[in-house]
This record gives sequence, structure tokens and C-alpha cells, in this order.
Amino acid sequence: MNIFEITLRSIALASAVSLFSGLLGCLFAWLVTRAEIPGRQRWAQWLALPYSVPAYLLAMAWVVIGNPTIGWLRHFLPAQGSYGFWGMVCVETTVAMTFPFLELKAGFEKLDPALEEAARMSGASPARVFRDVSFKLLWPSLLSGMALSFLYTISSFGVPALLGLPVRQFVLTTLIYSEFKMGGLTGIYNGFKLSAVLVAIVLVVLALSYALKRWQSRRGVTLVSGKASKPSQVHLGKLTIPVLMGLSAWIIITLVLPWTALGLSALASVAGDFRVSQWTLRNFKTVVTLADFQESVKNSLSYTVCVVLCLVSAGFFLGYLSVRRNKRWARVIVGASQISFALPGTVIALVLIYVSAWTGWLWDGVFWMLLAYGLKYAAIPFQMLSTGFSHVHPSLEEAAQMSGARRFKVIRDIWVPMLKTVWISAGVLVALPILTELTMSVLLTGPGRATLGTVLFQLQEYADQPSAAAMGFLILSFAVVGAWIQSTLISKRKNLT
Amino acid sequence: MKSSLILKQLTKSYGTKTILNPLDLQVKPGEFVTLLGPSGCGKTTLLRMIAGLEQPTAGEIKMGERVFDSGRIHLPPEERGFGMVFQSYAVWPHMNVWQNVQYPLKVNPKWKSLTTQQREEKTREAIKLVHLEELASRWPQQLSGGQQQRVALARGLVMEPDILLLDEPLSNLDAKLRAEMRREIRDLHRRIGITLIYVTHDQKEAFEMSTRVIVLNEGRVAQDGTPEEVRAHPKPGFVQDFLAEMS
Repeated sequence: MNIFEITLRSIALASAVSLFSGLLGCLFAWLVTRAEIPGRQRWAQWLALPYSVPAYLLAMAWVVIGNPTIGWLRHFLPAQGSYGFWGMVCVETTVAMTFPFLELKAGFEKLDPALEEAARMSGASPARVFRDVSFKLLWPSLLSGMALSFLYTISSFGVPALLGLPVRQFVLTTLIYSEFKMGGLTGIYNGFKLSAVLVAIVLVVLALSYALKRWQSRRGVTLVSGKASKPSQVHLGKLTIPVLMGLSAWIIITLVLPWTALGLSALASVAGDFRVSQWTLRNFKTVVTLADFQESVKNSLSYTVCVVLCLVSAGFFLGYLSVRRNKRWARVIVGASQISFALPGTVIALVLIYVSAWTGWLWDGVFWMLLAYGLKYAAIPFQMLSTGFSHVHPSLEEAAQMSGARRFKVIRDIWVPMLKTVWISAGVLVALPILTELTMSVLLTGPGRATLGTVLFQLQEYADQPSAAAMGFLILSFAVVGAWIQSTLISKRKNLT
Repeated sequence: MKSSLILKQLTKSYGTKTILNPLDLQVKPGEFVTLLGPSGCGKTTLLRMIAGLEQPTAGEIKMGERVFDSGRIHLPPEERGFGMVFQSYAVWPHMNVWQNVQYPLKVNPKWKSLTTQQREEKTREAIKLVHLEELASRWPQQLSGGQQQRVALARGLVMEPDILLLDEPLSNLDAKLRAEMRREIRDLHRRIGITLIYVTHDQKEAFEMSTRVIVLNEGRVAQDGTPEEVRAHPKPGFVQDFLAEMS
């Protein structure tokens, strides 16, 4: 296989996804922060929801929706249906869009509304205000969101495996997986060679993002004014109804349609026959009685609880030490966690396999799996808790000290309860991706170590697609509910601060 | 002949909370009106409704034949022809002083027909008016708070607005600069005779600069008169207490 061609395809895929994500994220962020539309908060919550949904579940659903022979929308799609390059672009974009969306939404919320209002008072139309003021001030946030979309896509395994492999369109992550599964020294050697290419691409993007942030901080532009007033909303007039229809269509395409497709496929007694008379609960029964499924639920839950407890506790103390005690080493660990977060899961798994082989420890041991999850997702609680500590005024801690409380009591009585919503939402935010993780799990799994992601992948790829749909439906429902709880917690936290 | 700004039964509420009770007001051309009152009395909301940045719940805003707000009519801020100076200055950080001041002449339809030379001439005049000739090529980050406020003033004046609205423009400045800017704004008003509506909670600003002071309390006009009248004969109750507290 031509590595150059596959590298180019991976870069093209990630670039296309980050471009579309940037455009959509920009539009949606402006609509939920600046336009006069009813229920803006709810729309924002719905638009951010795919952030916590595993993309491979959406890909599974699009296999049903866009299947070239039996798919619901096959007549509206090209000959390959949802398979191939553009299928991957579309499905990855539904999730990757949330990165620029969230970055820009935060940017708009921090931007002093008076800067835009001053332009309107000068006579500029809303479109001109966006072009001359909002965009000119927020483009670094847009680029940073697009860089995250790029990193997310180039590291993604599930979507290219489900929508690319059936039509032999490899990307770097799926080729690494294939080489590794082929076994033998050549396979492992090739896997490392490809991982090096992947890491090089990731490092270039990380370096560019870092340079952008440095430049921005050197520019010394302060956009935050202390928010004296709510930003005035742009009246959309006749465009209100089409905008609301567009937003609804996006939610339907990204969440409702995939969820319905998985649900109906799970209910169908014969693949492709969705008539109500043919509905059965047999597939759900098959899944829940499957030994592999039961084992995977047990494993995934125990791994998740273990990693979440470790990461949130560590994040709490690192946040305290780096922000309140100003410990340099704690700041370095929090900063390093950002780098491991950006590394592709495939690369982390391969490195751990190599280290385990080198140290002589069993490579399929639970330890390596937990370590992989920890390395990949540590940045979320570490960053959230550090930010949480920095948002609380030091005088609250000092008041407790002046009341006679010692350091441990200050932590227990002041910090733990004050940051309750932060550590709970950090826990939920880490738990969701670990519970359904696939990329690292498929490489690190072994006998007795099956997880929800790996069992689902096996069912979808090799054994029983209706059962896979039933399992996917259950996991997707769980992920959406979990994400909703998490976003509600975050909005509560915002109201508190 | 310029027309008066007329507010008729203007009301603003958010849900069940009323910010501004039905209010009638007329501002004559050339007046320097100050809306004075404590935080939360509705003065900034009133100013933002005049600007078009907030939509009234009920009532009417008009100027001569031009209706800005009435029933379902709501003219957006960019079509009202008013200038505004914000509390946070709102000087665009990606434009230098010259570009900031010139911006309204580039985007405002009223000035579309200007040639580049005429536009430059008007920009130069506005910058001269606020004594920033030496700093025209500077970036906002290189200016002090007082200088940034002058840029905002020049930007508001360059488009020759029918009314210039000022939302607590001096509250972020130190005492010395505030005194200096108070003098400058008063002189500017005398020199160019523009209509000014100024929001503040500082009675010193109100009495020193304006030709008319309107004291607001809980969304209602508590007293309306010349600075001398209000200072010499404050209405018993809220106005008397508020002025005594502030001094």
C-alpha cells in the first residue's frame, strides 16, 4: 500500500472536516450568541451534544441510512452511499463541528458586546459588523477550533474503519490497525513507521496552534470588558423561520436520524425491513444475554470508575497545587496532559504495547488499558479543575484560615464543596468517552478484557449487525442522556460563577 | 431645521420585572441632557432603547417624521443616525486611531458618496477636535484610558450624528482625567452645538456639564429641570436623599 497516498488522504480528510466544521461552527456560534432566536440556550445545548457522542455510533447509523443497496437515503446519495471519502467527511464533521462551535461560542461570550455595538452605531449592517469586527477579533478562536477538529479527525479510527475500510479507502489509523492485526515483526514495524508519520503531522499542527496562541498573547489585546450589559440581539426578521428550520434539520440529521436508524435496525427482524409488523425485541434480548456484552459492561464500567476516580482526584490536587500553591511541577504536569490529549489514541496504544513488551509486562494487562485511558483523557479534569481553582477568589480560602482552619480542613470544607459541580462535570465528561472508547481498546484488548467499544466493533464488522444496532442504540441513548446531564451541570456551574 | 426626539409612554420590562415605567420625554435640538440616577434605575436601558440596541416593550420613539420604535416597528441602530460612546470605550483593538475614527464614514450610507480625500479631511477634523493629532497612527493598546475615550468621542462625532449618546463614559477614568474630560465634553458641546444624552450616576458630572438633568428612580422620572433648579430645589424624598448621599 502506498503510504504517501494514504497520508495525503488522511490530511485531505482532516482538512476537509476542519474546513466544514469551521464554517458551520462559526455560523452556529453566531446564531446562538448574537441572533434573536427563541430558546438560544437550548439550541446551544443541542448543537454541542455530538461532542460527547462516539462518532463510530453515528457511522454505524449511517451504514444503515446510506447503505448503497438497502439504505433509506440511497436514492439521494452517490453510488457508494455513505461509504468512502465524502461519507467519512460528513460523519466526522457532525462531531468535529462542536470544537470550533464551542471555541467560538466562548469567544463571542467573552467579547465585549460594546465593540460590536459601536460598529452598529457607526452605521454598519450586522453582516458588516461580523466581517469588520467579530471575525477580525475572533479568528484565532476559529483557527484553534479548526485545529482541534483536524487533530480529532486525523486521530479518528471508528469512522474510517466503518465507512472507509469496506471500500478499501485506508487512512493512517486504519492502516496502523490492519498492519498490527496482521501480526509479525513486519506488521509491528510498519505500524510504528505509520505512527511516526501520524505523530509528525500532529506535532506540526500542535506547534502551529502554540505559535498562534503565543502571537495572540504577545499582541496583548484584551477583549473582555467585565460585561456591563447583555449583547444586543440581531433581529433576523423574515430569516427567523428558515434559520430555525435549518437548525432543526441539523439536529435531525446529526442526532435524531442516526438514533432512529439504529433503533429501527435493532427492532427489525429482517435486515432492511422496517415495517412495524416485523418489529421484534429479539435483537435486544440477544445482546443483553450475550456473554461478551455482559463482560464488556462489567469491564467498561469498572475501568471507567477506576480511571475517573484517579483522574479527578489527581486533577483536584494538581489544580490546587498549581493555582493556589503555585507549584511549577504541578503546572508542568497539567500542561503535559494537553500534549497527550492531542496524541492519536492509536499512537498511545502502540507506544504502550512497545513499552510493555520492552519491560516484559503482559501487554494485554488491565494496567496498560487504564494507563492508556488516563494518558488520553487526563487533560479534561486537570484543565477544568485548574480553571475552577483560578475562578475562586483567594480571600475565601484566607477567610477559612483566619477562622482557624488548617490546610486539610480548608481543602475539605472550602474547596471540595465549592468546586463540587466542577469535579462532578469533569468526571462525567471523562467517563463518557472512556465508557465507549474504541481506538485504543481495539489494540489493547485481550481475552477477558473486552469493552463496550470492542464488542460493538466486532459485532458490526464480523458477526451480527442487527445485534450491533441494538447495542449501538443502547449506547447512543446512554451517551445522549449523559451528555445532556453534563451540559446541564456545566450551565448550572456558569450560573454559580 | 432639526427636530426634537420624542419618547411617548416608553416602557421596558423583562418577563414580569419592569425596568422602565411608561415614560414621556422630549429632547430639543442642541440640548445636553443628563440621565442621573443610582444603579438599576433604568437610565442605561433608556439610553440603549434610544440607540436601538434594546427594543421597547411598549411606547414610541420618534424624531420629526422619522419613527424609530412604535408597535412592531423597530429601526435597527445602524439606521438611526445616532452616535454612541460606551463605558468600556469599545475602541476596536485591531484598528489604529485613524482607522477607528474613519470607520463610520466608510460604512454609514449617509457618507457613502464622500471621496477618499473628503473622508480623510473629515477624519482629520474629528481627530483634531479631541486633540489626538499626534497619536493618529497609534494602536489602542498604546493609549491611556483617557486617550481611548477621546478616540471613542471622535468616532461618535465624525459621522455628524443627530444625537450623541454617552453611557457613563468617564466612570473608568481616574479623578484627574475625569475632571479634564468633563471640561472637554462641555467645551465640545458649546463649540459644535450637538444634542447630547449623557448617562451617569455622578451628580458632579451631571451638574457641571449639562443644560438639563433628569433624575430617574426605579424606572420613573423623579425630577426634570436645569442643573441649577435640581440642585437648588431637589424634590423631597428620593431626589433630596440621593443628592445628599452623593455629596
